[in-house]
Formats: sequence, C-alpha cells, structure tokens
Amino acid sequence: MTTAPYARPQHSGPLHPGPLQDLPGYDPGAAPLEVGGLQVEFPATRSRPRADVVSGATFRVASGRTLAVVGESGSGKSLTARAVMGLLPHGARVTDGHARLCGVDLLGLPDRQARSLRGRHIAMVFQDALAALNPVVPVGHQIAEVYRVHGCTGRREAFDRAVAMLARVGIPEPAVRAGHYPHQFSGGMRQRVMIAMALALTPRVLIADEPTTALDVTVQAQILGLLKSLKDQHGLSLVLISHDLSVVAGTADRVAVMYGGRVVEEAAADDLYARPAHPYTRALLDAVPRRGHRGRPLAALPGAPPDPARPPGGCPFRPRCSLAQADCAVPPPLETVGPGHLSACHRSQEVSAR
Amino acid sequence: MARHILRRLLMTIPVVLGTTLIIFAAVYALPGDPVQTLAGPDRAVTPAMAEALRAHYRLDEPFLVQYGHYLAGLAQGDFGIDFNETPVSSLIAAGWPVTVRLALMTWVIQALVGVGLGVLAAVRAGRATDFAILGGSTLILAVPYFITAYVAQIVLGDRLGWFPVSGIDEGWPRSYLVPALCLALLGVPEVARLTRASVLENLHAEFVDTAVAKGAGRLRVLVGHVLRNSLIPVVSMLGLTLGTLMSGTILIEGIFNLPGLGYQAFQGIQQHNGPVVVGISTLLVLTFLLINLIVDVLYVVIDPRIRLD
Repeated sequence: MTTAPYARPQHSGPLHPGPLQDLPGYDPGAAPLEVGGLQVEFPATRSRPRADVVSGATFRVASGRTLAVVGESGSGKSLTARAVMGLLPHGARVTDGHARLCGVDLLGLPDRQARSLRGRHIAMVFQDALAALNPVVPVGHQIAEVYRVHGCTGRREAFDRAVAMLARVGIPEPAVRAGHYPHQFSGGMRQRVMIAMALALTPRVLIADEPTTALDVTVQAQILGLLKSLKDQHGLSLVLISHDLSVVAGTADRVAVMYGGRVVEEAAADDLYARPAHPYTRALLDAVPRRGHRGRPLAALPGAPPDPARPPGGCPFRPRCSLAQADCAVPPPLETVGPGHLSACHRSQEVSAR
Repeated sequence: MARHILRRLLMTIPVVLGTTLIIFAAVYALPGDPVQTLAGPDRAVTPAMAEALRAHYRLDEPFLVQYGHYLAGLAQGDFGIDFNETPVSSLIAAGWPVTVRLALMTWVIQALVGVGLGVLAAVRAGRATDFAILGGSTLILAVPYFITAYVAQIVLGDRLGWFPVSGIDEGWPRSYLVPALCLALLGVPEVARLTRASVLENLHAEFVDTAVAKGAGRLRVLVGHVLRNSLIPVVSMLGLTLGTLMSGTILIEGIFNLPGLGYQAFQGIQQHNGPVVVGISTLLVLTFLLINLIVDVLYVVIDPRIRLD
C-alpha cells in the first residue's frame, strides 16, 4: 500500500503551524543555524578537574547549504552538536554562547519550547544507527512517534506517513519493512531509517553526526548521496560532522575545522582544500592519501590533541605546530583572512602561501 | 512458534520423570514405617493386618514397580489415594485455590512495588531516594521473613485487629493480604534491584538520545523507550518467581494457618502420608514447568531480537 505520494508538511502551513515563529528572537531572514562562542564544560568532580571540552565554537550554516564540521576525536565537534540538540551527556553543561535556530536561541529556551523544536525544526542523525534505534520497537512506529510527539496526526495516519518516509529514503517494500525491528536491517538500511526519522517533519536543520562512519565505503557513498538529494529536495541546511576530510569533500559547501574545542578555520570547501590557512588544516590535508603521491610516505601529525582538562594556553595547536613562535601563547582570534575565509592563526598568511 | 512450544513440552517429559522419581524416592526413604502410621500411633499391628495394609497400598512391591504404578495413574490424571482413603486430587482441589490466591496476590504486590521502587531509585540514582530504597531493601532482606510474618500477625492481627490473625474465614482479600505482604517482602528487594540496574543501563542508551532528539517528553522517553527495554530481564525474573512462589508459600501458610497446598504437603510429611507429599510435589513441579514455558514464550513477545528454533 502506501507508497502514495507523500504530502510534504509546510513549515507554516495551516495543518501544523510550527511554533518557531512565536518564539522570541525569530527572524525569517536569519541563518537556519548559527552557533556563536559556544562553551561546554565538565565541572570538576572529586576524581577529575574541570574540563573545557568546547571553548568557543562559532559557525553558521546558510539556508539550503551543507556545512561540514571536521575534527579529530576530542575536538569537541560532537559535543557542540549535542549541546545544540539539548543532548549533552550527564554532567556537561553549556557555560556561554548561543545556538540560534532562525534567530531563536535554543540554549535559552525553557525545556518545553526547546522540545517542541526538536524533531520538528531541527533533527539529528547519529553515527551508530543500531544503537540509536530502539531495539524492541518496529521502525515504523519509531518514525511514527515523531508525528505523534508533535501532535500532527492520529496513530493510524502517523504510521502511514512513516511508511511513506521509508519509501522516500529508498527502502524497498516500505509497508512490510515498517513492521520490522532494527536488527532485521542492514547497516545502510538502518541509517536510512534514521534519516527517515530525522526528516519526518522536514526540519530546517539536520545535524548528521558521523552518519557514514560505521558503514562500508560503497554504502557510505549511497548514504551521502541520499542526504544530499534530500537536502536539495527540501531545502534543508545540513550540518555534517565528520573526522574524515575525504567524506566531506564531495558533500560540503563550507567546512569548519575544529581543534581543541574551538573552530580554527572556516571556509568554502574548495577554498579550504586549495588554500588552507591554518597549520592544523594543512596537516590534515597532507595526511590524506592521494593519486600521484604513490610511493611517498604520508605526512603524519606528531603528538596528541590537547587534554581539555589541561589546555596548553594560547593557541591549542601550539605544541604540535611547526610554525609556533612566542606570540602563539596569545590565543589567535578567528579572523577573516580572505573572502569568506576565516582562520585562527597568527601565521595564516604564511600557511596559505606555502 | 508452535513447533517451539511443542518441543519445549516434549522436553518437560524427562524433567517430570526425573523430579517425580526423586520425590518418590525421598518419600520412600523417609524413616519410620508407614504401616505403623496408618494404624495409629499406639496400636499394635498384627502381622496379618500389616500384610493387608501393605498389599492395599502396594507397599509390598519393589520401589520401581510402585513408581511405575504411580506414573501410570498420573498419566491418566490420577494422583492416587492417600492413607486416609481420601483421593489426593480432592485434597489438591481444596488446597489449590488458597495457594493460587496467595501466590498471585504476592506476585502482583512484588511486581508493582518492586518495579515501582526500582524505577524510582534509578531515576533518582545517587540521591537520597535511591539510597533509602537500596538501604531499605538490604534491611528487608536481612530480616528472616517468618519473623516479619509473626510480627505482622501480632501487630496487625492481634493488637490492632485490622486483619484476621489466621485462617481464611474472612475470604479473599482480607485473609490473604497480610500473608501476601509478608511473602512479597522477600521478592520486592530483588525485583527493585534488578529493575534499578536495568533502567540505569538503558537510561544512558543512545536510543534515549534519539527519542529526546525527536522532541519526546521525559515521561514518554522513560516509559516508551527506557522501561520498554529495561523490563525485559525483569519480566523473565518475575515469571520464574511466580513458579517459586507457588511452592514457596509453605512457611507462610503454616504461620497464618492457610489450608493451601504447602500446608497440606507439610502435614503429609509429618503423617508419613506418602501419596499426599508425592502428589502435591508433582503438581508443583508441573506448575513450575508450565510457568517457565509461558515465560519463555512471553520473552519472545517482549524481546523481538530473540529467535526461537
């Protein structure tokens, strides 16, 4: 049955008037998502000193565009996303900054209102779909729950729309598959289910946290392609979190590179790849294997990322940076170094000139 | 599913054979001469009379032959006749409803209170409520339940007079409430602890984040996602508990004078009334096996990841 054409809910249609417009700060002209000066800390406990895990993340994603947030484990990219979604792990808390969804600051909203936005105007896809789906509930019901939670439809219709969503993300026999449990799907199909769930109400912003890391390379390409085409169809803004610059390359319009809890460089993807203006970005790019470099050893970045409980002071990359000098003890601000190109490095000119 | 159930039923056959054999052997090995008990404590038994009694109850035949006769009867639903010429089945018919009521009531209390406290402790983990529940459950476990039962009997039954002291004259539920509560004290801490551990484990599962990211409220996340997963081990434990409760009521039935199966079995042992002991034990074993089977089937219903066959 229901592979019938799926009526896309309008953002401000009469059927489900979104609550976004009524919230303080709403500005239809604002960027769909803008994060500024975000700081997240784990307060000190008896066994552990205080740790700044995100110390000033700043980026914005334009309407209908893809922003990739790139960084290694511990760079604070996932925690930034979790802070935006209100999903910080136990103990972590936001100490400063804002995360505005069309001008509405998500971090300052009362819980009830923040909840009404989650799943409807901003949604998230997680890395490990097997863990992120409830193992004992059929996937159709898990998708239908989005409609139920936001009071859009009755039980029956919610399920039908869930089936339609499954069809939309390319799951064959969606009416049958909707009754299946997560463990009965392959990894790629599970991630499609996650995407169907996240896009059920056509949010403005989709955060995808390492959506393809757990998948085979061929399936990776399919999922990235699916995300891209759904993004284009619905005019979503996509925040793609990844540790892999090559995954990001074909998908992102802009790239923000995070290191030690802050954004160290942000630029249009082509520009960033062609003229990195931060030594960390350059080091990352040098470590990517490419054609024509066969037989030469890959550049490896020595050292380890900073311990958030004991930041080096000044530029977080200083201890591993080949260009570091005395003035790097003063933290470099994120500054414009070219058209639409931001970098937090005192030596950005030097880096891009190489 | 049907095949699985059938196979499980077939598997119960050797279990029934084995357990009945053990029970039968145990009763056979009881010290004392059943003939003396049959005739009465102070009466001299003439050899002729003893012979007649032995022949009547087949006590003169070898052990395995006796057992064979018993099994043959059992297969036809006949639990035999006890040494007072009463069919064991009529004793069972009298005691069964009492024990079932007591066990079920205890079980419901255990499930509701245990799961409730367990969830509460998990949600408030590390805070005063949690410590109170954990500490309280340790305390309850440390006190033997027959002491609690006697105290409850004296205080609630005798001093305050809120409930009958003993017997089932006032019927269900009044006569059963205090015994059921005392018996439930034994299981509540276990259920609460298992529930707490299981809820804590699922509270930080990633699918909980997914539910929050959907915009689901706290209650919906807790009930629809956390509990739905946490109750899987709890349900299987509760199922097995029901089986043990059926046979675990002996002491409480004794204290509160409830004429249930346990009470009858106890009397049977005291009177060397073999058929009663064997009959009731067999019935309890069968009940236990049946409940186990139901729990197994239920397990598949609540946890779709489990495959049969």
